[in-house]
Amino acid sequence: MFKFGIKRLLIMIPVVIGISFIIFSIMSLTPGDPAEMALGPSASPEDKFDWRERQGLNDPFFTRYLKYMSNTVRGDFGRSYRTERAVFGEVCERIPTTLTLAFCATFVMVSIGIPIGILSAVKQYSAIDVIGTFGALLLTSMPAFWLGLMLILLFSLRLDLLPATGTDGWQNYILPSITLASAVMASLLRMTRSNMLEVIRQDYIRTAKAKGATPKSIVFKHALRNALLPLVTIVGINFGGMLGGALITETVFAIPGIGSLLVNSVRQKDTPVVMGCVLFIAIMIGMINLLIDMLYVYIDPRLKTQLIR
Amino acid sequence: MKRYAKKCLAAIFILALTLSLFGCSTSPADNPSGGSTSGSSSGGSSSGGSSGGSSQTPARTDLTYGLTGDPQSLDPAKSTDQMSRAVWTQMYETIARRKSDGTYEKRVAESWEMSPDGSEVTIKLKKGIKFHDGSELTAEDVAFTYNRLAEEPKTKGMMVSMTGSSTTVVDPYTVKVTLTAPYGPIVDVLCIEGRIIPKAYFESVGAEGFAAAPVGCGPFRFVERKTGEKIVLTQFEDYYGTKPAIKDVTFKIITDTATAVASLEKGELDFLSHAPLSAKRSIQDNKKLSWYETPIKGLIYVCFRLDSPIFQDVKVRKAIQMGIDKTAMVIGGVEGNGTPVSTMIPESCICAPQGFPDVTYDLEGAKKLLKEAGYPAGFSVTLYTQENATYSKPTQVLQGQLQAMGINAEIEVMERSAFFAGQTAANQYEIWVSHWTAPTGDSDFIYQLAHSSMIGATNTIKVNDPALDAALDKGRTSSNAADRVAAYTKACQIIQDNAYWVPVYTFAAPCAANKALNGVIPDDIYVFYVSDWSW
Repeated sequence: MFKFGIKRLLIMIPVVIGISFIIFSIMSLTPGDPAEMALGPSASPEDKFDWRERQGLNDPFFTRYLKYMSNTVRGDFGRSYRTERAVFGEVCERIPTTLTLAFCATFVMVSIGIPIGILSAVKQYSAIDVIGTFGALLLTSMPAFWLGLMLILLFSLRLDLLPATGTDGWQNYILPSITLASAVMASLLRMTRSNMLEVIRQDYIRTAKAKGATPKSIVFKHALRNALLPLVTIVGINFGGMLGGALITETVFAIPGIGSLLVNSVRQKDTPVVMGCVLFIAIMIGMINLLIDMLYVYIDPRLKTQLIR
Repeated sequence: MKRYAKKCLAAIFILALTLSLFGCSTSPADNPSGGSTSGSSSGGSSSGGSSGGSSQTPARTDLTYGLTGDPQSLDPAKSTDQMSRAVWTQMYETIARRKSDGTYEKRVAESWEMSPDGSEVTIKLKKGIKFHDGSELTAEDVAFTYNRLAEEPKTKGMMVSMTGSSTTVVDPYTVKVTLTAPYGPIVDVLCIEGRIIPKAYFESVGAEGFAAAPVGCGPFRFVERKTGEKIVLTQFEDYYGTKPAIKDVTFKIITDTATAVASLEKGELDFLSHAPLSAKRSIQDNKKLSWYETPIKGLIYVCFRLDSPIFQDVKVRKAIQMGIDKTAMVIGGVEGNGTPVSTMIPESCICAPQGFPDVTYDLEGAKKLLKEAGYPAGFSVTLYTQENATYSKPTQVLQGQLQAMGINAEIEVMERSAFFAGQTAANQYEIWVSHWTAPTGDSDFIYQLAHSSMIGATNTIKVNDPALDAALDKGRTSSNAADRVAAYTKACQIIQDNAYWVPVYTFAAPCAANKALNGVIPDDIYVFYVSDWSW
């Protein structure tokens, strides 16, 4: 398993390099002058040229890219064109908030999606099944922007139960987590339901019933574990998506996360910050995928031999 | 089973309908519909109806100030954005504050004297003013600050009058600013942009250290910053002036304006500097809030590329000038919260022309002019704009008005940085809507747009008119207000006669606050002094 982990980490390196090259190319090719965005419209052409010279933007594309990558390997991710602060610091400041939001949203997603999915499967076509499926579909259909504002109006303004914005305490993460989780809850619920339905119709479940196993042990000990593999994949993929894709939630609830930093930097043509954010997200997703694969082995030990091979 | 499922579905539909009806509700339950005292003002004065703090609770000493963007930097030489300025205004001081009646309230300066030719300003400083680090403000600090502002790339463009200048120390409490050319509004520029920092502290911590832990001599000192979230200031105990009633200020960054308004209504914010115009009605109807507005010292205008085959013809430009219904543009662009303007310099600017006659709206006359110019059937053109509603909404209205004249206009929405780059690119746009705000409130801002020396920079239409240049030079170099007004009047006449641009409207610079907050006055360049406020 250790060798497997090392192998996967090494494979991540060319993947991250590929991603960095693509993003660097896109930022170089898209129209817009970072000098104008950084210095403002009043700057003279001479000052803009000097600024580009200092940033190395007058060099050829590959020279700039290689310079960037060689600095990155040494831990220097450059400085923001906009704020002139170190990119590493800017990104690191936002990581705790982003991770907290992603974990909270994943917790909401898992704690609602999986139990309701199980109930829906076990009591197929019952009221719980209909309500659960429809409810999840309804939540997914609501745009995050709208849902977030509605939650603020209801729970913050009308009922005065929760804060509307900020990250001062754990209460600040409740509404954003629900907003972020709602978009992906339906897929988890439906996947749980369909997997469970498939598993509970298997012969070994019938055998367990015949042997007198309790419904609870059939569901949680025999069925769920076998249905869990695809669910772990979905949870992992969605968690990775939340790291950089929570822009709307971050904007609505004024949460300073990686998503809002990334989009604002793209708008400002602040390439170093964009690269820093993308590299962080790419590495995190790679690590999450590795973790998922290791969880597979824990859930289904039969996979261990396949992975080692 | 089927009947049971149907009942469940019915219940869910009812729930969803209820939620959507709730979401469409316009006013909170606790707000009366009448008797609102929060109004708007077009005269630059507040109209919030704030009537003093509540008698039932002790006066507060804290304030949460809402910003709709993250300040770029807390170092005054590293940024020019309004969000940064909102924070700087509380931490730093300048030589004086210009009041709405044109007089000055002296701050760190005791007095100043302009040389007869307007190219030198000698400033005497007050003694005993302390910075937040305990050191005393001297001429060294002022000289260091001004020279740095004139050299830093990000502020050079704003301090264009000081490019190449030098500020020297005459004695420990006197500096002399020597300009390369006379500049009439130099004192106003120093009042707005000349935020003084301590030289010794800056040199000891460096630029990055200073931005992380800034030091000024204003009524509030820096405590902490969480990027993208908040900035905290607290009262400076050794402040030389009157201690502010508010002791602690937290700037909270909320980029979504709907959320910012909700936070204001909830009480999480006490003041919102860039309140959205779309929230005007709901804030005015809220008995706990006040709405303030004043015309911004800026405008929306239509630009033409003067070397374009179509728009190099003055008849085409004048036809469009005649065919734009500015009242309709105000309604479509800012929902009526604006005023049509007749010149490129809004009347609220310092030394702006007053009562300048506008071109009469005449659609038939416009069509006739187009026919004379050789376009009886009109022509096709692309209107480039960006996603920001300040630009995109008036562009949409302009499209309709051009089509009424027979000009087939298609809109192309660009990403923000691409749009700005396109204004100066070699294959730039032919006609587009733009926006400019006077950074110091002085009419001299038109120099950057219209002087031939700014071609390739801010003179995006590449106008090169010697008579216009002469008028702008006169307005810039004269120290006499009447002469400056006459010069800018002449400049505006030249612009109108040639239809280099079509000035369309100025709009409101709104802000909103807790009704119990006293002393709030709307500002046309969003400069607010928390030290003037109290509960």
